[in-house]
Amino acid sequence: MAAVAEEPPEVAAVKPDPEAGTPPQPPAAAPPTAAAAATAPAAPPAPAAEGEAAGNGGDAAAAAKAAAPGPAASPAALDRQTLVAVLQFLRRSNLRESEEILRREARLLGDDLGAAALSPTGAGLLGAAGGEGDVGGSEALLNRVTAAAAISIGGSVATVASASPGVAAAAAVPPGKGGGALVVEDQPDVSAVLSAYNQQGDPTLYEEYYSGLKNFIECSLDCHRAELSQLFYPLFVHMYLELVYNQHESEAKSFFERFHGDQECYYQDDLRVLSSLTKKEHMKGNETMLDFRTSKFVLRISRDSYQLLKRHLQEKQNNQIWNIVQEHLYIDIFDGMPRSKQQIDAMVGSLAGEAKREANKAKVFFGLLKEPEFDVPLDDEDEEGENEEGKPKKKKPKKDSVGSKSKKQDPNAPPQNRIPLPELKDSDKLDKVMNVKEAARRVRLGPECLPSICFYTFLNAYQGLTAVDITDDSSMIVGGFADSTVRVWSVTPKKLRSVKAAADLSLIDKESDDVLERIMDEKTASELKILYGHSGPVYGTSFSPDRNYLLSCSEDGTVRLWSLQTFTCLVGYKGHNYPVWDTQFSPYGYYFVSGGHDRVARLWATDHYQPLRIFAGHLADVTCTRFHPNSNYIATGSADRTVRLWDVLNGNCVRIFTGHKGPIHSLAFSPNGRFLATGATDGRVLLWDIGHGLMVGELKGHTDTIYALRFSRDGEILASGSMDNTVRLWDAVKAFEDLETDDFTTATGHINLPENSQDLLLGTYMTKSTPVVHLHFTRRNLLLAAGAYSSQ
Amino acid sequence: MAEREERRFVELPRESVRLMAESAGVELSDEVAALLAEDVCYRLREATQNSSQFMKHTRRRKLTVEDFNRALRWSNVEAVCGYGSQDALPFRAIKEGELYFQEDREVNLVELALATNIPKGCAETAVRVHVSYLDGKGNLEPQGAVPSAVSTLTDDLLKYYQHVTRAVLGDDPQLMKVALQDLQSNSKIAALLPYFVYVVSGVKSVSHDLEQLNRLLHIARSLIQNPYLCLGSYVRSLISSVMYCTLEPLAASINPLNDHWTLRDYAAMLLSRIFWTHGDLVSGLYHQILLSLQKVLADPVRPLCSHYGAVVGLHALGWKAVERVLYPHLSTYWANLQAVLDDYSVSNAQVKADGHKVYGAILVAVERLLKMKAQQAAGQQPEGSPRHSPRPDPPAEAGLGLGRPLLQLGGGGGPSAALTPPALSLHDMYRELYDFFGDSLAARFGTGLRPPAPLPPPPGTPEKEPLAFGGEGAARKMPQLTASAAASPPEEESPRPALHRSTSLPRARGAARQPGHRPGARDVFQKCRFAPRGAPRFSFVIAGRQAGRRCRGRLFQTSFPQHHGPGHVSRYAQKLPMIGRTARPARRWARAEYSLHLLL
Repeated sequence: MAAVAEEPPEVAAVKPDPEAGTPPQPPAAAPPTAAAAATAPAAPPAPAAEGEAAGNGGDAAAAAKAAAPGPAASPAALDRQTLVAVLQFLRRSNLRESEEILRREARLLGDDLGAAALSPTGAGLLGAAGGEGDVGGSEALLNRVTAAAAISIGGSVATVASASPGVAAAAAVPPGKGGGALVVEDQPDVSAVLSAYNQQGDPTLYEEYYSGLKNFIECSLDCHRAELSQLFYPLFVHMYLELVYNQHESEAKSFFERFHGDQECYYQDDLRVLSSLTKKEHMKGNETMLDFRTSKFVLRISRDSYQLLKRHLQEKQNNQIWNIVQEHLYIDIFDGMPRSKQQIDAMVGSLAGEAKREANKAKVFFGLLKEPEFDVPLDDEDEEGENEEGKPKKKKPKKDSVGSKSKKQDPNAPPQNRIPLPELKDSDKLDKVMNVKEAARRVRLGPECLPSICFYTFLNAYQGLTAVDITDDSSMIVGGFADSTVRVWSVTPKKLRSVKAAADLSLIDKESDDVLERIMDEKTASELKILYGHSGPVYGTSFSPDRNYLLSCSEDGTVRLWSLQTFTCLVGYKGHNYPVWDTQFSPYGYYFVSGGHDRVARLWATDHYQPLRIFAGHLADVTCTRFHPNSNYIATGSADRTVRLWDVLNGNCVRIFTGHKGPIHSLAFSPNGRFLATGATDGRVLLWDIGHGLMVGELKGHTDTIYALRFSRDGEILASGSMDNTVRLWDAVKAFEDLETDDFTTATGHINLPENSQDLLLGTYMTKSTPVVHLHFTRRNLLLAAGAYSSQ
Repeated sequence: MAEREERRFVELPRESVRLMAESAGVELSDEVAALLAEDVCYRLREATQNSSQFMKHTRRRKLTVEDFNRALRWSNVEAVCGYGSQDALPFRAIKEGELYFQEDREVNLVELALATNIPKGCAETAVRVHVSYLDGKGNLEPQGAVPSAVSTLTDDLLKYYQHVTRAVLGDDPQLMKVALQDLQSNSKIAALLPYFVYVVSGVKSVSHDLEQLNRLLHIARSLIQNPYLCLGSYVRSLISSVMYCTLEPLAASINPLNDHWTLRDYAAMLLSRIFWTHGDLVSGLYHQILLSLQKVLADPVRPLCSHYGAVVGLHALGWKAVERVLYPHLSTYWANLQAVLDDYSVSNAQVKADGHKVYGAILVAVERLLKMKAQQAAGQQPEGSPRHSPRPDPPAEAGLGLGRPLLQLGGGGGPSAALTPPALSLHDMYRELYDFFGDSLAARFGTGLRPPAPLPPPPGTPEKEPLAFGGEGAARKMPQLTASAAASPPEEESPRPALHRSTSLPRARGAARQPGHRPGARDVFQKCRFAPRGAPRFSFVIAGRQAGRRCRGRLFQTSFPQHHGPGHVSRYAQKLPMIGRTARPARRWARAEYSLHLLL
């Protein structure tokens, strides 16, 4: 009994979020269907109840249906549900006596309860005759329902329970499983998820329902029509899936045929998947289907439009649609003017609708970390370098600029030690100095001064070039290939050498000045090093900032760390178990991120064989991953057509950007950390303001997937490279110039995108027949592009 | 709409499922098979959808077998082995029944295993850098140009390439033969294919040298015949080279002593061969070829040798091509040709000789067209494929089917019965052609189907007198030669090796020899000729004007007004069929005295 009393906190967790609020009583609506599904397979072991059930079948179903939509009926429905669940449990546990007692008790509450209690059985007999297959899964669900029921009865059932010791014992069991039920809630069991569709409506009426709603929406006022039209797609999908699940194949087909033309064109891909789905058995393994079921489709609708819809549905008694709206949709209601069609179109398109507004409210420290001050010896070195080149005059102004830049603390920057970063090594400092020196000679880019473009063409790459990376100082280029090899080229005259073997190393005079030179084995010098180790195509590669390491990820599910001193594999990070699509080193080294087919991104540190963070939330493959320049955040693009920003510190998702109409394949942060550019298969580049969590630009022009995006070193130019064999340059300064970031926009998330792609496009540069796979700005702002020549 | 929905995806018929089950020893009921078929289709679609992500992440546009296998592997299904090639496997069609299959060439493992020098499959992957755009402007250097990769070939391949090109273009005919032979059978030269194709495309720069042109075409032929080479997109390049040899007014054709006709014939033969064996690699190829041939033919400015090339090219592509392009164009073209042929000035002699070449080529082409039409009309043959493919019948089939309709005609009892259904179109076509060619057309038909026995004098009519008379002198030669002309189109057009030729020819002749069908065939054309009483008379005036007045010979007599007397007639008659044999393989009539222009 004590156990039962302790449970209520978890009840809240099991129930759908109460403060989501707007769907009046989600808990009331959900359990009946769930219970109905759960009981269906459980019916056979209870022959005693069967006759009764069959007799009551017809009106039982009706009763269940009636109970579902009515918000007013919710407390009664809740009680009934709990009773049903307990009865079920007792029956399953062969506690006939207790069941009888309970039933007798229940009858006292009202006659209709009996019918309600049996309704699931009836429904099961009627509809889910073919449900034998998912007995195992339903058991899990049953447990869940039972547990939840037992818990939520709380005190009210306590009296019943105390009346019979048997029931008390029974009631004591569920809490034990309560924990398990929570897990189930987190990672929904497949058939449990599916069975939620097991509600019986007249299949022939579906088309009527849908077209009724369609008529209503099309006849509504213009200002509401655009908003309400958002309902079409999720309703269409869920109704179709319901039909399929309940094995009304022909109805499902004709439903699809009739209405799929109404859906927005950017849902074509999903519709194609759906249309191939015509059998209940096929739903089990279908990922798109599961995505739909596990996540609520989020719609953003103004209060007026929502009221309109609600009134209509209630008037028409359109329960089928109302159920779907309640169970499968999340309607994010805002006050104020309804949005226009353009505003909506800009934001929708992802697998699960738009992002909820509160998802983008968290504060993000998008500023850059303070650069460490250079100490005196380094300055000397700097000076020395200048003297060597015989331009001591320039030293002063440059030093100033360096000083001012590093002293200025960005107000938006995270605390310097928010996440622990590795100490700078001497070599790193040297590199930074080099960087600053190069930066002084950097070309100031702009619309008048476009960068020169060098193209690195991979010739004879018959095995298929899949990934490219170039070191920050542009001295090495690495290619990942579909034949599992990783090939590193030196693009400077300096050849690649590995360190001597241990025996030889011991002979070296460690005190000598050129010891670093001496440890290298001259015999191994070559322009190209091939790294073997993966057993599948290499989909992502990344150099560490200090150029000592190289990361590669592959279809074989591993991320490998290679040493560029010895050209051997150091570590194989296993964890994804499925193809890993992308990986990248943090700009400060040490950390790296990977994302793959298992729908999660992982944060690793090179010296840990297990991930430090797992970023879960995407509904489909994580296709690309990028570190924020301050290393505190990670952006991931996914095949669910959303981009998410994750906080490295706590693993929270702090931004969800929707608006792309295809899987995202490239990401780039602006050098100042404020903006994010994303490119997808839809051939569009979208620009996002990270601080406000808003879309701020759309760059149209590419005709194929964008695989590469890069900002110039000072952020004036955005370069995009695509499968359509072009590199395009965009005016980033202008794109971010006068942003509409007033409070209203920020608060509501309503954006008005200017149609200015053509003004922002500075140039289109064709290759002969080479898809652009990678782009890189050198420290002097020369644009390097890379790709494999394809003869077709 | 519902129909379309049904066909949204490829569906597996339940028969296939049942067959597969039977092969595994399981009997399936209809229901089970249908269910299984549907499930298999769904799984296939699912796997295909899953495989597309591997394609996307490999930065490709083309879905490969590897992608599909990956998807299978990740869903714990056994992968499909043996189709890992990067290149597409072309489907070949079988005409009888709509059946497509993948060509599975046999690999001689022994040869592979015993090969001593195994060259590396492909060149080393390399990165090349070049400045594409300086300050955002201009392309400084063509990027990824293929020839630059020559240096990255392995030494072995490079050596092979040098040796072969040297041998083929060099002086030693024996060496050339060996080199071509090797080129035809070497399985390891795939990496060199672009270079050889490039070499062949050199025809455009050696158009003055017949010998070189010939050799380059030989290289092309060897490449085509090499079963290990997948020509892929290089088909286009090869075709353009071959078309060049067929159609262009080569520098070599300025000198009348150069036998560029042979080259054109050979090139046309190659054209048809490429098309028949590799045409499926490039879509729309047939129409492109036809279009360019038509363009040449319709261009009166082009020299006659170009026209000749176009005609033999069409002829080589099959009778349907002739019907589609040449036949409708004939009436306009005829006026030009007639003007050339009617000009007796000395300065025109050379041109006129060329004109006769063209005339002969057209004659052969339309004769074949008529013959095929007649066969088709006879209804014996399931003409072409039922799906009306743009491609004409494979010539091989034409060769095999040559004797069949005749048999039918003979066995079908009354010749009129066999004739009646198709009489209309065939009849019209024949009449129109007869208007152009006069008796020469009819005679060739008549004798072509005749056994090589002496001609029985046809039933005498006044109109036929000249024919009979002319035929008298040529009686010994004519039947034999025309017979071979009748049989030759299939053999020359056929892309099949010589072996096939030897088999098809006797069969055709054998069929022709069978008694009984001869009168039938004869009747077809006699009827055509004489049923419309007015037409022959008219055409006789046009085509046979000169002949009737001066030499009582046939049409060709008009070209040689300087010859008189029966002696000349017979002498001419000997040469006459040569015109009809234009499509014959080159080596046969490389002997110069057979060429028409030497007559003058």
